[in-house]
Parts: sequence; C-alpha cells; structure tokens
Amino acid sequence: MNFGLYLPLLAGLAFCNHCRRPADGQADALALPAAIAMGLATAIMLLLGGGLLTLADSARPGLPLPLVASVLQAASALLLAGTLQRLAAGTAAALGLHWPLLLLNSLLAGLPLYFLPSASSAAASLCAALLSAALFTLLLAQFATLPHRLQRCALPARLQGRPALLLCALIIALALHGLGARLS
Amino acid sequence: MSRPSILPAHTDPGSQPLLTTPLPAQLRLWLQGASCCVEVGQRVLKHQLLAEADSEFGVAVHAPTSGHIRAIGPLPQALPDAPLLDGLQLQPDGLDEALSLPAESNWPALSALALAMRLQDMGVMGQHGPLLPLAWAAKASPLALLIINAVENEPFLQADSMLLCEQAAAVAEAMAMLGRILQPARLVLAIQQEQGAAINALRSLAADQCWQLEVIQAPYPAGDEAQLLRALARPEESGNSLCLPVAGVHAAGRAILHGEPCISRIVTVSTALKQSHNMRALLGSPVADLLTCAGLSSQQHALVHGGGLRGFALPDATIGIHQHSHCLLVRPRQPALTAQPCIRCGDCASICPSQLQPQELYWHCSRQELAQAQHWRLADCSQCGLCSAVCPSQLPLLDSFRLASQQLLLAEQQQCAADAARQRHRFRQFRLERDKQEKAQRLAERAAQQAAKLAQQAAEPTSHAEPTATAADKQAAIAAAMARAAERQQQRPAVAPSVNSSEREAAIAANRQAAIEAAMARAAARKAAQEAAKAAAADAPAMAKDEDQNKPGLNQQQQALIQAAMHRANAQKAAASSSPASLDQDKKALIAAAMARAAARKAAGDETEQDK
Amino acid sequence: MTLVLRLLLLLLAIWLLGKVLRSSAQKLRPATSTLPPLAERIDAILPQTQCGQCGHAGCLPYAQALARGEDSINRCPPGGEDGIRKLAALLHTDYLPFAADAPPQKPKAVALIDEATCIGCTLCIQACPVDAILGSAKQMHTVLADECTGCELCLAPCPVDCISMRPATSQPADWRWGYPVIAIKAVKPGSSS
Repeated sequence: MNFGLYLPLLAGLAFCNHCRRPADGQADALALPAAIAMGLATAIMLLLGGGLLTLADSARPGLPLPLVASVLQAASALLLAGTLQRLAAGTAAALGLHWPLLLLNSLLAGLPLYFLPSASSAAASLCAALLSAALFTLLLAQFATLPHRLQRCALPARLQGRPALLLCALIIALALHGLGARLS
Repeated sequence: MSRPSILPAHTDPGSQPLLTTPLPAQLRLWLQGASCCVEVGQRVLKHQLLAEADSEFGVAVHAPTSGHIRAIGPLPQALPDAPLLDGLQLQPDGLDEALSLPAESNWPALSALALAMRLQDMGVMGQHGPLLPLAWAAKASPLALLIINAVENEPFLQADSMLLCEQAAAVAEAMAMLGRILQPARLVLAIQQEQGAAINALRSLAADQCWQLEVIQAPYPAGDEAQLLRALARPEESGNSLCLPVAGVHAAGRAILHGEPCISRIVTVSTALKQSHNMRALLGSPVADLLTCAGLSSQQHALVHGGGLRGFALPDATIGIHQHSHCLLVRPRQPALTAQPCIRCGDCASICPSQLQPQELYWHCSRQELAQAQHWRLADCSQCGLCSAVCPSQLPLLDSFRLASQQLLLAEQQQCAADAARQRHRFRQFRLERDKQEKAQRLAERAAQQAAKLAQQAAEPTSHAEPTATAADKQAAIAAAMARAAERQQQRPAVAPSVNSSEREAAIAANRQAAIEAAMARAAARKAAQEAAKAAAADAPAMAKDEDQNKPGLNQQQQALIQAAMHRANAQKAAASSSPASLDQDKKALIAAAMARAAARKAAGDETEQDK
Repeated sequence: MTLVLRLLLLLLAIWLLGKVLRSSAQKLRPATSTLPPLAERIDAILPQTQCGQCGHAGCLPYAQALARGEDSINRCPPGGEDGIRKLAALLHTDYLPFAADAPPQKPKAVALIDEATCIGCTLCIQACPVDAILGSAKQMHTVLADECTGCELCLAPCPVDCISMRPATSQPADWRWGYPVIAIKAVKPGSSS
C-alpha cells in the first residue's frame, strides 16, 4: 500500500458518501454540516482505532496485524455509532451518520493506514491519521458544494447530475494519485 | 483590473466655457406629481406657474420661457421601457417675457416646513421629489448634519464642478440661507479631490462662514448619499442627517433669495473622446438641441442619459431634459454586445465598493431566487454599475440587480397590503358578529317589552302613557344623534387650521380622511333613522291596539300602518336634513377636490390604457 | 507521549463533533414552541384577497383546511405560482401546478364604480370582504382603491352592472418611487451599455 493508492481511495470513499445522501431541501441546507460531521467522525474513529491498536500491541504482542486492525477499526466504528444513537439519534440520522456508512469509512480509511510505508513510528502514524481525516473532510465538503456549482455550468444535458459528479470524482482521484505517487 | 484604468480621470471644466443653449423650438415638460393649471393654446410668460404639486412627492412646474401651450397629453419619458407620462408642450415665442416674481423678503422667519413647501412651489427638486422632503420637514426634528453634495456622482461628469466654478458666491449664499433656516449643528460641503477648480473657487469663500469644505479622496461611488454619510457623519450624527445635491441647493438659493423658480440646469454633454461641453439648458429642451449646441448630430450617435455607469440609452432625441439630466453621453453606435456566460474571473467582486459577490448575486437574481439574493446582501448593493462595467462577459449585472431590488420592494408592498386586508377582513367579521348580537339583543328586548305591554293591556284596557313615553324616547334618540353630529361639526373647524397650514403635505391623508368622516356622518344619520323607524314600528302596534276597542278591524289596521309609515317618513326626513348639515363647507370642498382628483386620475388611467 | 497526544486529539475531535451536532440540531428544529400555529403561518403567505376562488369563505378558512390537510395547495389563483411554491416549502410537499379547470390568474386590479350609473343599493357594500366600498342607501358609492383587493365579489351583486375592474398598475402615479433615476420596470439586458 502506498499514498498513490490510498489518496484516490479517499476520493472514491467521499464520492460514495455523497451518493448516499438523500436529495431533498433539508439535506441541501445541511450538506456542509453533514460533511464536517462525517469528517470529524472519521477522525475520531481513526484516532480511536490507532490508540486501541497500540494498547493491544503492548498488551499482547505477536497477534496478526490485519486481523487485529480490522477488528479494532470495526469496534471503534460501532462504538461511535452506538454512542451517537444513544445521545443524538435524530440529529445524527439527519446528518447521515448511519452505522453502515461509519463502518465502511472506518475500515476503508483506517486499515490502509497501518500498511503505509511511512507508518513506522507512532508519531508518524498519528500524523498520517490526522492528515487523512482532514483530507477526507475537505473532499466531503467539496462534493457537498459541487452539485450547486455544476448547475451553473452550461453542461450538455447528458452530463447533468450524477455523471458530471462522477467525472469530477475521477479528476480528483487522478490528481490525488499524482500527489500520492510523488509523496511515496 | 485596477480601478483607475477603467475610470477616466476627472477633467477640470476650467478649460471649457459654460455654454448656453439657444432657445429651442419646443419644450417638453413632464407633469409628474403635479396637476396642470393652464390650458391648451394659452399664452404663458416666463416663470409662470404651469402645474402645481398635487402630492407629497411632486414639485411645481414653471414655464422656462414665454410662449404658447401647444398640447397637454402623454409624452414618452426619459426612462427605459417606461409608459407615457402626462406632460405639456410649450412653443416658445422668442420674446422671453418674464413674470416678475417677488423674492421672499423675510426669509429668515420661514420655518423648515414653510421653506420645504416654498421650494416645492418653486419647482426645486432633490434626489427624490422636492429638495426638502415634506414628511421630514413636518417632523421638524433637530438636524445634526447637513451635507451639501457637490461630489460628481459619475465619472465624466462636470455639471456640479461647473456650477461651483461659475456660481460659487450664489452657492455660498444659498448654503448660508439653508444653514440659517434649518439650523444644522454642522453644515458641510462635500467635494472630491479631483474637482480642483471648484475647490479653489470655494476656498476663498469658505473662510469665516457657517459651513466647512470637506475634500473627499474616495473613488467613484463617493457621491452616493450612503457613502457620503459613512465618510462624513460621526456615529452620533448618522441618525438625523440630510444630504442635498448642490444643484438643488443653488436653485433653492435662487428661489428663496431672488424669487426665481427653477427652470434650467447645467448639463454635461460628453463624448467618448473625452471632450465635453457644459451647458445651461432650459428644462424641457429636447436632447437634440443640446447635441447641436455641442456640435454633434443625433443621427450618427447613440445617446446615454445619465452617466456612463448608471445611465440608460435614450430611444430618441426629442425627449426633453428634466431636473435629473445631469449628463448626456454621446457614443458612436455599436452593435449590441451579447451577454456571455460568467467565467468567474472575480473582477466584479474585487471592484464592488460594498464588498458583495456580484456573480453569486447575479446567479440568484437571474433565477428569481429573491430570498437567496437577499441572503447575499442584495439590499447593500448601491447600484453603482461598476460590476457591469468591468464584466468581461458583458453580463447585465446592474440591470438584474435593479430589477431584483424592485421586485423585492414590490413583494414588501404586497405583503403590507395583504396584512392590511387581513386586518380589515377580520374587523369586518368582528363587526358583523357584533351587529348580529346587538340585533338579537334588541329583538329580545322588544319581545319582552311587548309581552309586558300585553300583560299591562290585560290589566288596564286603555293607557296613553306608554306610547308617549316611547315617542319621547325616540325624540331623545334623534336629539342625541343631532347633538353628536353637531359636536363632530364643531370638532372639524378646530382641526382645520392645522390642516390648512400643512395642507398639501396632508393632502393624501385628508382626501381619505374626509371620505371616511363623511361616511361616518352618513352612517350616524342612517343609524338615527333606523332607530327612529324601529321605535315607530314598535309603538305602532301598541297604538293600533289602543284604538282596537272602538273601531272596526280592517280599517284600524290600515290606519295603524299608515301612521307607522308617516312616522318613519318623518324620521327619515329629519335624518336626511341632518346629514347634509353635518357636512360643513370645508369638508364639502375637500370631497369635491377628492372627486375631481379621482376623475382626473381615472381619465389619465383611461388615456394610458388607450395608448397601450 | 504520543498516546497522550492521541487522547487529547480524540477529545478535541469529540468536542467538535458535539458542537456540530448541537448547531445542526438547532437548525433542524428552530424552536417550534415560539412559532405561531400552522394555520396562521399559511394565512400569512396567502394574498388575503378574500376572493373565495379556492372554494372557501376566505383566506383563513382555506389556510385552516390546508393545515388540516384537507385541501390541495394549488387552489389560490391570486397567489400565483410563487404562492404555491411558498406553500409547498412551508408544508414540505411537492410543487403542484394549477389544475386545468382552475380560474385563470389575472393581474392585480381594483374595482371602479361608475358614479353616473350607481343607484345606491348598498349590495356591493355588503359583498365587500374588506370594507373597501363607502356609501349609504340611495347615495353614490365609491371604492377606496388603496384598500381594494381586487376580489371581484362586488361585481355579481350589482343590479345595474356599474362596477368594473381596472388594472391597478397602469396609473403613472404608481411610478412615483424611485423617480426618475431608478428605472421602475424590467430593463432589457443590454439596453444600458
């Protein structure tokens, strides 16, 4: 795994997240807060998963890393989903913080972090987790505001709506791939 | 694109002399908010009153020169897509015979309201309507800051600078007059740095005067009232300050100190080649005459009325100039530019003096999303036109903002009207309900009375005391109604003097007030009549029953009915005679005036309809 | 050391998420207790002509029917399509175009009584829902143009047909505000160069 694959993966994940949003007037008004909330939730899950992994590693060294990491990431996602369900169920649902989506984000954004070549030291892995969460938030916000901006372009009718968005996601993924390839 | 590169540098008018246009062959004057008081074919003298203001926002119109009135009727306005507006055509006879109007000899004794009305009579116009708004003058609140705005309100313009250079002493006199009457705590003449010649002309006069000269360095939209207030007013003054254009102030000085009504103004005729002429032109002179005077022909050029940024194209050159025609731009005819899609260059946002995002605003305005446009602060747009000027795609930004803000205003007015209608409808429902209850109550009372009467009759066969008692009651009711009417009549003259003093200012209110009062008087009379009739009807059966004993059945009933009818007729007559009496002379006159005005407005409406 | 830092960052992220949730919760439920009842909010949108073209006795009964969900939102021709959009946004329903048999939309008009023909029967006064007609028996009646909503309810009762509707905006006097620097009507794109 390297950044050249990981960063486009984030772009695809953000696109998936955007496609799962309902398309009504209220969702439009909450698009930006929803993107920020999902980004923060991802950050929490990454930090929690990483922390738990460090603890597990120090308690019982020698466990297979892929298994432990996926179990811990899933556990942190479900923990967060449960807490949200208990404390702010209505708002969380309106902002799109459903447990399948949280689980997906946690696994897809979290697992590759442990196999990046730069994740050798604890500080570096923390830094990578934070940066990836920040990038993910930015991408979500980007997709939240894209439909409005695309409306103003004189696009051909065939490209209106989802296809245009998919093209944008591809362009972003390509650009991120270039960036990631240079980083790794 | 930086600001100086698109705005032409202000050129000093010093090099060019002030021209005077020759007498045009025909003058076209509009009658907006004014009612005509001359007839077709009549000969009028210079300075003669042609139309007097009929609303708070209108100003009087005076003859710019002597001549004959050729026509009174709808004329095209100097506005894009505006409907025809009533106006009059004056054919000058070349003699220029003037009516000598007396100057106000004791002008220092004038109050603010009297001054405002005098200026309205003299046809001195400010930014909107009369120079001093009548509603403001009537409030007579102390004025903290009075700004005389001599900043040119568009690039290319020199009209105000020219006026200051030529008539500096007259302007200073007029300002002293305004300062004396309005008593502002601070009187400031605002002028822009570039107007060097005008500053020089004023600087010598500014010493030991009651006003200060403020030189402003801000770029273009500095001439707007809001910008000037922001630049000059201290925080505590910004609430009660007034901003007057210098041309209006000069005209006010001429009107009050010399008795000359406002019949001309200075117009800048400018071409794209940076040669401009300033000329004093009579109001109503056709645009073509001004162009000829400047040595240009109207055939080959496109005309823009107003400045280069906020102006609009004039359809033809026969339109007469009015008090706001400070500038005529003459440009070579070009094929119309077509708007291209926005390329998001951001030039409009960087040049906007109000720090708005014109491209966002334009998007929402063009899609009629007024709520979103308000969210993007459409209300803060000063409509300076800079964004349209810099737009590389030639988008009609200014026009769409103008349209959208008018739509917003319209929506607001509609909301107000709907609220008023809701209130009236609710009150009507309440009134109907109340009337129904009162009627039911009355019926119940009457039934009870009749029952009592029947019981009494059963007890003692004949009694005349009862009918006379009800008759007395009825008399008392009529007398009370008359007394009420008389009281109202007396109240009316008590109000009248104050109405007289601010007559025209209260004209619109009075018009309706009179109608309502008349209706109230009529309603009171009708109520009295009803009461009387009911009382008559109530005691008629009783009387019939009284006579029941000694007369045959059918005959008696008929007689009773006739008697009741006579009672009712008498009562009605009394009411009818009292209702005209309740309208005193003054009220009648007001109603007649209101009706005349309504008829005139109707006629105007018909005419415009026919034109359409 | 990094564990402590990680813990701190975790707490910070949780706190931020809490703030975002709280602020969007406020946006979702804008203090429903302070809002007036739904019927009144609908009534505030309706144009208050009280014309009865919706089949109800006035704007408020229509608003109440809408609030109870007993009528559709496309019954108000004076409100226009704009009014339907506002109602749809308030009631969280879809936009509904006017029915094919709906009364046509007309520009705003005010009633005008022909003073020569009026016989003073007071029938129109009783019909006017906003008390915009003045007069009494056997006296000429007149319409207060400022108060008239253009509901046309006075046309039918008039026995001599002396009431006509006049467009409300054709008078030059209505062009007063903004005179004359600001154009009143739509400026065609490109006309101001």
